[in-house]
Amino acid sequence: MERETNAIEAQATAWFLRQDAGPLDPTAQEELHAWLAADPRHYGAYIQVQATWCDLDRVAAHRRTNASPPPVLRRRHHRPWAIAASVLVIALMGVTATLRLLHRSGEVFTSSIGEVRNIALADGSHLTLDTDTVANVNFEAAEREISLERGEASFSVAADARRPFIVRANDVVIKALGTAFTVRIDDRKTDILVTEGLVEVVWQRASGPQVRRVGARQLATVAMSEPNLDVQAVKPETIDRKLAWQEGKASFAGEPLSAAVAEINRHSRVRLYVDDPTLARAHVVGVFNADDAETFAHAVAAAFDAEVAQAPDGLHLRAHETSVTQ
Amino acid sequence: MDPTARNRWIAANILPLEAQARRWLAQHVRSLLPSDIDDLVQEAYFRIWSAADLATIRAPASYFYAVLRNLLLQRSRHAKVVPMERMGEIDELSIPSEEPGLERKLSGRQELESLSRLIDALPEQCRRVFELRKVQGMSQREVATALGISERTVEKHLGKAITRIMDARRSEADGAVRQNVASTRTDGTRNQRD
Repeated sequence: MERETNAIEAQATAWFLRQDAGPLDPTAQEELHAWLAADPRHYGAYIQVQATWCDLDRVAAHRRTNASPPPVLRRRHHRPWAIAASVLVIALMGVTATLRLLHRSGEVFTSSIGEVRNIALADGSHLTLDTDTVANVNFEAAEREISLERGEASFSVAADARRPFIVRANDVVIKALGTAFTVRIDDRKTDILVTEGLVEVVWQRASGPQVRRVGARQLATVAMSEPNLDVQAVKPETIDRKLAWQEGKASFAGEPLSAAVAEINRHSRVRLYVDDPTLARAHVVGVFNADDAETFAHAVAAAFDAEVAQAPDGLHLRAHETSVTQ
Repeated sequence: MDPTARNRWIAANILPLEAQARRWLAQHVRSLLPSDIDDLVQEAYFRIWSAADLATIRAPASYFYAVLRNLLLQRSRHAKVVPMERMGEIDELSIPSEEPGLERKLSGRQELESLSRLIDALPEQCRRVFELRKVQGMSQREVATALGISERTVEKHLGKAITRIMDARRSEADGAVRQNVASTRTDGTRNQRD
């Protein structure tokens, strides 16, 4: 059944793409508002386009992970003067201070809460940022360096033996050669999950560095509270669960509710709280949309015979007055 | 729910149902023109988006169908001319009790693959522009520079990609519904609706 292209839909698409091209100037902004307000169908068509575009993020991520390696694109990450400057610095090897400064002048990529962002890098590698993440990318002739300032990111590294790929996260340095891995940091620990290939993890402790090689399907954990870097094998199912965020999902296989809520809270602007300590220990199983705290809360409430209370600071999960099922 | 979460919710729960809802309207209210259906569906998206709390909607399909039915009723009440049979059709229009989206939700991966095929089927340059913008994450301006075309042309290609994908999803899901109906019929004994 062929459908004639709807005029409103065409207008909505045009408006959407104008906004996608860059922030609208005030006049255009007003025009858009007037157009949207003129007819609920306008608004509806705009929402349709917006939701379709948003849905295509998943497909984009899927294509990146399942398709043959994408063509290497020369993105102009560095301004010409920056390249000139780095050449100059290599010539004057002694000037380490300047080199450090250059390291900091790389391109900063961020994702907002609830967003998963995919970035193609100049060397053919890919970077996927989970919610609320900041990564600083510094690619130079001799090495490719990314520092993870906050959050969680996956790296799919294009092989280049002469240019090591290095990720800095907290006080840990991860060196990779044509591999794929994910790094997650918070104030207390750094997790490195390797999905492909081999990486070298260097923990720069005050007492001296500790070095470990971490292979595919292994998880390295560097925790403030532990004296040693811990490396453990991870089952493929666990890897899938840990990387569910790449498709906007959070997946739990029996984690305590408190941990599951912490994970959902990373992705959602609506905060969740568990008011009951017994309830906080209940085991959560299931796959949820990571940024949808409300649905998660209601599902949990239904499963554990709890209730969801709306409060000014967010949603509170608490036991029914009668009982708590564990 | 913030706007991004709303978009995701609509993308996950309503978009996949649109083709089925369109067919449901066309089958049961035969006096509707295709343009009437477009109007209803667009307005329904607006209503759903404006719903106070999307997260409390347990059965998105039934909700979507109920919104469409209400809009149809409202419009018919306000219209000067209503085809004679219309009111009777609306009265008989009942909302399917099962959730047609359920099966679809379970096969998220298949859905991704079919969407991916839709992208493959785009005209060459259109696909290239789409991939640079969406898969590689370039801005429209960067895509224009990379391909040596104007930003206006980038916008046109993206517009075409969106339109094609939206249309193809509608007709693809259409096919799936037809298959379902056919298989229920060969069963012979059961109606597709209870």
